[in-house]
Amino acid sequence: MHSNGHFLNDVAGFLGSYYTGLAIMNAVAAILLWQKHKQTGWAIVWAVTSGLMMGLCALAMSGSATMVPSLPQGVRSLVNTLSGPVNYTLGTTALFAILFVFRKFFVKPMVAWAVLNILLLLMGLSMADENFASIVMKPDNVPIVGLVFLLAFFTWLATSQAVVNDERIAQGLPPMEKLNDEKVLVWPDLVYTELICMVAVSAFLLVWAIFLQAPLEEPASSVKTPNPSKAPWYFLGLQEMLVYFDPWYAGVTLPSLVVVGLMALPYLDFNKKGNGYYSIEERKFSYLVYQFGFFELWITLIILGTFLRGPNWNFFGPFEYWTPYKVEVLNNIDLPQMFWVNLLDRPLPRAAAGASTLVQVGTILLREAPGLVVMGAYLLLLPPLLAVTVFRTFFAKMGFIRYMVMINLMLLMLSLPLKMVLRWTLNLKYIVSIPEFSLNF
Amino acid sequence: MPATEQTWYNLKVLHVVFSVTAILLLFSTIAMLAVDHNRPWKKYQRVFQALETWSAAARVDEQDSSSFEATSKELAASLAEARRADLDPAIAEAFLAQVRTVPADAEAADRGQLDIDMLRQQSDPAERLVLRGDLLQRFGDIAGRAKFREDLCAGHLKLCKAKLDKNRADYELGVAENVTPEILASLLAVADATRAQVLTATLDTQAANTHRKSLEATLKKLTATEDTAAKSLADHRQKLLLLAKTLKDRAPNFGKSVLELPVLDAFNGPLRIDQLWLPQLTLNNNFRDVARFDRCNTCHKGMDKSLPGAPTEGAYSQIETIPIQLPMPTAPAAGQGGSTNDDNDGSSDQLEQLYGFHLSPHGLFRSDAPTVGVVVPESPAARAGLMSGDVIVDVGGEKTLVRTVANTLLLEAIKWGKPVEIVVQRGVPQPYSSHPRLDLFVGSTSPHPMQTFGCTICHQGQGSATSFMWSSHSANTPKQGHQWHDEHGWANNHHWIYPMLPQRFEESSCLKCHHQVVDLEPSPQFPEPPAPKLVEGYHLIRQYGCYGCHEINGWANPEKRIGPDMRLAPNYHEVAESLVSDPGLPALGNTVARWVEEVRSSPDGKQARQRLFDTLERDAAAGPEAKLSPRSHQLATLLKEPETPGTLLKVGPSLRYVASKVGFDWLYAWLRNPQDFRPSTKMPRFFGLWDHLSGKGLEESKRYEPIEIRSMIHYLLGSSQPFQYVKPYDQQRDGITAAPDIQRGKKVVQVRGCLACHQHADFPEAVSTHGPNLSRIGAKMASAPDGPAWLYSWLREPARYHPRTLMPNVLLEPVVLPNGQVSDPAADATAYLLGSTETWKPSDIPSANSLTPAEREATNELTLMYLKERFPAVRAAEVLKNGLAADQSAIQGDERMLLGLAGSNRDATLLNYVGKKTIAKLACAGCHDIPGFEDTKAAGAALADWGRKESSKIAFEQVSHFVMHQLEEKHGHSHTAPAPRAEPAADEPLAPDLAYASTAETHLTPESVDSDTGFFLEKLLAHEREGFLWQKLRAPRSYDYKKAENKTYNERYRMPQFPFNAEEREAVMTFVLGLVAEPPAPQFIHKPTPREEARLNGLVVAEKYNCSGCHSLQMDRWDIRYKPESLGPAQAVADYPFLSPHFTPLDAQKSLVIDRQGRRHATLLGMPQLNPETGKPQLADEDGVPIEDGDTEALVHRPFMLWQDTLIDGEARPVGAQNLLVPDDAFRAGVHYPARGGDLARLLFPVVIADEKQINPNVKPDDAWGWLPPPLVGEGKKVQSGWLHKFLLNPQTIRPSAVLRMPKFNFQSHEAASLVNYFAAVDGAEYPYVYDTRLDESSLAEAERLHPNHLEGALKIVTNNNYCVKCHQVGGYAPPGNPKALAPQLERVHERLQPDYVHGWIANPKRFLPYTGMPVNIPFDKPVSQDLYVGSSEQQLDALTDLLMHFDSFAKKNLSLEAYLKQQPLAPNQPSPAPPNASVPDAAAVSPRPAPSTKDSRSPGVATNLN
Repeated sequence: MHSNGHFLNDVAGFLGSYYTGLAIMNAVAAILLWQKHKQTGWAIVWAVTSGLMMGLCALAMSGSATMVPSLPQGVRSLVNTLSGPVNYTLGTTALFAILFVFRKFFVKPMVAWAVLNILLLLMGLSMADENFASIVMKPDNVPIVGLVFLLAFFTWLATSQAVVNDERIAQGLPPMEKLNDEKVLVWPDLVYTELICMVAVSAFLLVWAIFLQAPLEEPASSVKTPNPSKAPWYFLGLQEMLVYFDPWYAGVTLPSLVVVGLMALPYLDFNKKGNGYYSIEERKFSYLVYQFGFFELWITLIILGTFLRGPNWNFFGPFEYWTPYKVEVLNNIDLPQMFWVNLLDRPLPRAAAGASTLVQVGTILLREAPGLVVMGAYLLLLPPLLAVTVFRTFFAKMGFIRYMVMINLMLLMLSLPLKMVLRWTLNLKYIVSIPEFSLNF
Repeated sequence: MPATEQTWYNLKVLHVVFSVTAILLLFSTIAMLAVDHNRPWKKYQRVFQALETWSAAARVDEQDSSSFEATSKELAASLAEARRADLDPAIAEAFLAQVRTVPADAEAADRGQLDIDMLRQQSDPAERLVLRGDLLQRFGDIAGRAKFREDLCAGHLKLCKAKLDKNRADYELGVAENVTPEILASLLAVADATRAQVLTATLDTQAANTHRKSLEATLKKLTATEDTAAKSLADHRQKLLLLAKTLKDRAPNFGKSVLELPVLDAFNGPLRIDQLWLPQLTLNNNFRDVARFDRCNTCHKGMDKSLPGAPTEGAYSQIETIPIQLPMPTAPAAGQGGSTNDDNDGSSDQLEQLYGFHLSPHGLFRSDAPTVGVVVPESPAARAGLMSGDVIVDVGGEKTLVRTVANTLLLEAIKWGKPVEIVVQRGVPQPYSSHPRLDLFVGSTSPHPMQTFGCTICHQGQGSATSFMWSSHSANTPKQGHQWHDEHGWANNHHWIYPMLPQRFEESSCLKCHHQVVDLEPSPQFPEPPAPKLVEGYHLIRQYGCYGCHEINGWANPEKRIGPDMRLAPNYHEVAESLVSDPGLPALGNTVARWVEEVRSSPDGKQARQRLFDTLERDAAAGPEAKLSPRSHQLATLLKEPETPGTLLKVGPSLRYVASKVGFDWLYAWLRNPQDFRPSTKMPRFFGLWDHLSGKGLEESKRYEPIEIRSMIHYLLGSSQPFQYVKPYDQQRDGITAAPDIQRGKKVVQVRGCLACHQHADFPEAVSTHGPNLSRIGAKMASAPDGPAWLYSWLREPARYHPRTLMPNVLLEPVVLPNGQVSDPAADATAYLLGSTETWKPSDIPSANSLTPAEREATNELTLMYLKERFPAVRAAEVLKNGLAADQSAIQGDERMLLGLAGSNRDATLLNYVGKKTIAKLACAGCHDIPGFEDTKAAGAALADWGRKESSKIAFEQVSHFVMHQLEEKHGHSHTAPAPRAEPAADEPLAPDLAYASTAETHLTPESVDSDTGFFLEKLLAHEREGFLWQKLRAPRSYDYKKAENKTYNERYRMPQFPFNAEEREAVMTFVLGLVAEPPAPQFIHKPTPREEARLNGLVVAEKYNCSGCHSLQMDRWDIRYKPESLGPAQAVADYPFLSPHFTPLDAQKSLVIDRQGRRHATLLGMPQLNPETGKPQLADEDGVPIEDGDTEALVHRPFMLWQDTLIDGEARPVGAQNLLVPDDAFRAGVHYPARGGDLARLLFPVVIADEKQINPNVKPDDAWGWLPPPLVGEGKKVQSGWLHKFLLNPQTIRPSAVLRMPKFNFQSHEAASLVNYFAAVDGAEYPYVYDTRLDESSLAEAERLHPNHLEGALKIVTNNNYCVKCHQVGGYAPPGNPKALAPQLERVHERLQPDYVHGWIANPKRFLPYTGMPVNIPFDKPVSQDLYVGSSEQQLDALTDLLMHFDSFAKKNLSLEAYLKQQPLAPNQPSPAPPNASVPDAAAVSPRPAPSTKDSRSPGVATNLN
């Protein structure tokens, strides 16, 4: 809110070393490409990039607050305006789809390198924004930023290997992993490398501990919760689900199902291919379902929860000030309400005071009938329907039980995005809402 | 075995990678250790260690100076002298004689004798010395041998005793084993034999012991002088040895240095975290209270360090810059030249010769800084105030950055005979400096020792942290914050909810334990104000009545006190006032009416209130038969006493009878903006606060506010109860002959006490703000037809208008003028005050009676707005149109006022309704007594724990935008053309601070405004409570900025704007922020002793009624530092021994101590002599002759009248002696604590002298004190508590000469008692009951037995024209002459004064009242005429005391009816024509011999006062 020169002065030093790091990174890449891979063209490209980064570094360190390279205010405002839970979720889904469809393009090292450069550059430019920096540079958020890049790298690594393997398989060649399946020595190939990792990680942790000390926050209080109050970063995906589901479901049932589902995977998998080597083509279904569940429903929600959810769990754009006074409309309604009141224009069925338990339960069931019907259709009708249509081959190969387990897990997984869509489109709160038994869905 | 040597990874690469990572790990480990080694607190500790070593070394050097050496030499010389002195031959002979008693030593004795003889014969001093030494050596040897023999004997004795023990045991064992009697007998015989041995051995030992002791004693006698000299030399050196030992302990040594090395210091090095463990002072961590750990002294190590021998003076003061004048001899002494070589030692010596100090070769914080190392005690430098450790920053106007420059300047650039002006920087920076005021805080002898209290209980902050930022330091200005940010990486850690209090609010914490607040005012023990800002805040809150709306409840429950308690007292008195106007009251009978009256005037009394409550309950229960109105029944519950009732009165005047006082015009102008009429008013402003408004919001305000003002006036005037004015004195009945006169009235206002509380433009010297400013009072009174009558009434009898008013009845009775006319001073004052208008007139006042259509429209809208809060919209509109129908009379509340609206005067009814609603909305009843609002509750937020209010629960609204907007407008110009700023010099101590003085800022930031505004602005922008409070007090309504558009008119903020200035605002904030409702454990809560409590309670009452407006409650205190003997010699006076000052020898010794600057210290308590013409402190020359202001030639002295005995130069200076002439420099070098109160007395001092001069040109200035309100110092020991209590509640004239009378205040009985206890407590008197045997009849009988005609004789003295009756009234007898010389009535002394006091007073009045004109009538050494009373002075004194203390019984006993019958008729103004009194004046009636006829022999102007 009150961006001023002092902030930019403080961050200038960091940005200077950041851009220097990027320059060195690109220079090393250029030298390697030039010397080792003899790709002079690319080498020149990255050398130039390196030079640009040095230029940015000079600007950042120039000592003048106005010279620090940053995103134009207009762009920041635009990003803030555009971002919201709907755009974010749909956007990441679209990005996921694009990355998947054009994976052959994106796994090219030079493309990936370019994407990395762009991402790092955007990040650097954004760091000149006080609001962005204050969130990203919070000591407990710094590792998450690192994790994001690590995750991207490993995903890229696996995908690029899978793409190579897929091409080889298409050409009738064995996958790369089959080429080198000789045995290796415990010493030095295993133990020595482990030792090196240990030493390196120790050094890294020491340096980290020196320069980025653990934040000390206020003593916990039962009368005052911090705003926003956030779960540990790895649970922020779960916390995001709380927006859409009853705490019991989002906090207990779904997480348990995730664990159960992950344990069940080996027993559900009937595809014998892809063992011991990376491949996408040979296990498209498994790959997509898993990556969707992991990236879309877990990682992106963690990022959302960490960086974009502010006070009162409101959504804030990356460059927006986290004001606790932001208010959003919360007029979500339950399905019975929609059905009885909005559609039929009559009050919700309500048992007379003092009615017998049976009558009361009956009334509740009547009230919740629409929701129960929808739920029933989703969980009971859909599986057989799918078994005879889309998943006919699956059903045949898996047998009834394995199929039912698989399809139910999948439907429950899909219930999250579905519920999100329903919330955004219909302001639907709960499909079934029986507060009498703390049972909401 | 591997199948192949080939590895998967290239081993070479692995090795390289491994070595690189290993090196990285090594470096990061080193980095870790380096970071640990460089933890900030370790650095501070190292520097502090150096600092301690440096100052210890400096002290050693200072001690080890030439004067020390001189003394050492002197002592050594005297030791040598003692050694050279002849031994007393007699003692030596005696010694030898003693030796000879032991035959074995006879030979040695002979040799000793020989030595003595040789010594006698020897004349060469050197030889003698040798011989003397030999002789002493020999004697010593003899004594040593005696000791040896004694030891031998003792050893033998021990052996024998052991043998005896064994033999005895053998015998007893034999008995136990039943051995034969023969054996038994032999055993016993053996034991007996041994016993005999023991006996012999014991005797031997004892003899040897006696011998040895006597030898030693004699020897000691022989060397006594020598020993004493040796001891004083050792003592002298001891001090230095101790300092040297301290230095050795502190100085770094090899072992310590090794342990402090990097890496090693991580393992139990000498630098370690210090912490205070405070298990009782817990820290609230939400889930549980945990013990507090304060580690602050890890870095702040100098916190509790004091100077050696002065436990309340910090060893390391905070940095300050001090100018010093170094005296310079008129010509160079021999051997001193202008040598300027850079040789350090040489110039050092020169400096010492010239000034008496050295420069240290190493600076404290900068090695080459010119730091003063040693200041030789009593040298010119020491006298000028230079201290070791001072850094010389400037010599004669030239900067001195390095030692050489300072050296050169000090030695070269001097003019002989002209002092050198230097500037030094004294003290050390944080965190090394000592805590300020070690007498109050941190010091081991202070009330808050560090070990018990720690740091964070007061300062807050994170005590466990050891780094600058995490300990939550709080910057006092934005600049400081940014400086910290740059130096320490500081940022506001908002996570810690108890951040350290910034310096400006550090006093807030005192409230945690000091719930009474007044205990933080200066006291005799701590004359320096302990918490001035906080106390000011407290008084402001009391004066402005914040508690009327914002309750500050100091009680969590009736058993638990949590903080200061500031709440309105229960409304008993208002309920009674309301009952008075109930038409049904007379029907309940006179007794009930009397109860009502009693509750009305003394609401704190319980009995009448309880009875009234019962009556009201009974009446309410009667249902339809009830005589009182339902409203009265409703109010009955207010008469019940709550468990912890509040104690404070509403600050505003009562508006219950307001119509009797002021009219519409004035009220309108007043309500619109009180400051328009009275700029100094405390009434806040409610209307016209529009700065923050715009558009629709502004329009609404402009439209509705005039209507609200009008409606409030309408309600107030309409509901005002009828008032009975006081009737003026009647011309016939009271004999008033003079018409009211403005000039006389002015005099009345001036001298009859008004100026003690009020200001008036005609008397600019009166500055008290206790009461309102009267400069325009006439304009106010003119607004109502009966205004003048009201004013007269008010002056005569304020309680009639408001029984609880603070305004006292000043008892204005008719006075006889010099021309014989009789005037009514009240009428005169009224006439004068009515003329005081400063030509102010209400302006822009709408018509009182008619509304314009627009106004009517607005009234309707306002009414509708209120009705909508009560009724649904449609119904509200309907009610507005037609009012409430009669059948809706069941409706309760203000809407009842609209019953029958249709049939009545519509405008009036609506205005009345809106008026009442507005008064309720604006909470006028928080300060004023308003009919119909007896049961309103406090309207604002309670403040008892506001200091901890969660800032997320505070509505900041858009106020920061408003403030920024406002400030930007104000600072608009500075952006376009920033003021040129001089570049701060690099060595400037404030350079880092100046660096933040903004020039480059392109827009407004907290740093670009002044530091106070910046501080609060920063807090406001960060949404912290300090910022909120600041703006709330500045412009409370501004929180509606851009919010008014989204609110209805009545939802807006209502707090009015108080006329605080910035300083007052901060004081109020300091108080409010201290309200945290977090009392620590009970043992830490300040619990005054009963005596102290009495003092505090009394102070509260005295403050409330402004007793100190007239009377001095505490005298001026001067802690002077004078050059020895500069106050003149003490006069020897012969006085009664019981009056001589009491000082212990220790006190006398202390007063002789000369400090480093060669001055002595003394505390003077009393009054500086005032100039009789100007009333300003008198200045005089060394002979006491007054000098003019402009006179620069004379050596200025200040005459001082002592009120407490003191010691000067080790001699007592008693009260009552001649005024002390204090040299001005002694005064200026010391500290002055101004008197508490007595302002009016000082103000009137020149006035009454001038008045008296017109009658009596020879008036003695000191006499004037006798006509003015007396200082009340010593009152507790002077008067009887019972009398004082009565006197306070109903004062009588004591001194006829006084120009103004003690007024009659509306004290509650307990308040008067508090004052009585106060006086007893401050004077250390017994209270509340005093028993004095002198008051007993039996003691009188005893006296009479010892001395017949004891009292009769005394009466003869009293009635002798040369003594008492010369000035004193006795009974009906009044001495003729100037009434200004009249002294108090003697016949009433017995009920007023304490016997001890009377006794002392007669002995020497000046010892009790230094300015009194009463002479010593019975001098100590010279009893008065023996024809009156035969006896010694003391007997006469006793007799007089006995007579005065038994005057009534004596008079009664001696009353003869005949005498009474013969008595002439009494004078008409005789107040009490009781027969006993009447009998006294005629001495013939009681005295066997007729007293000599009274003749007027006394000189005019001698007044004597006993009160």
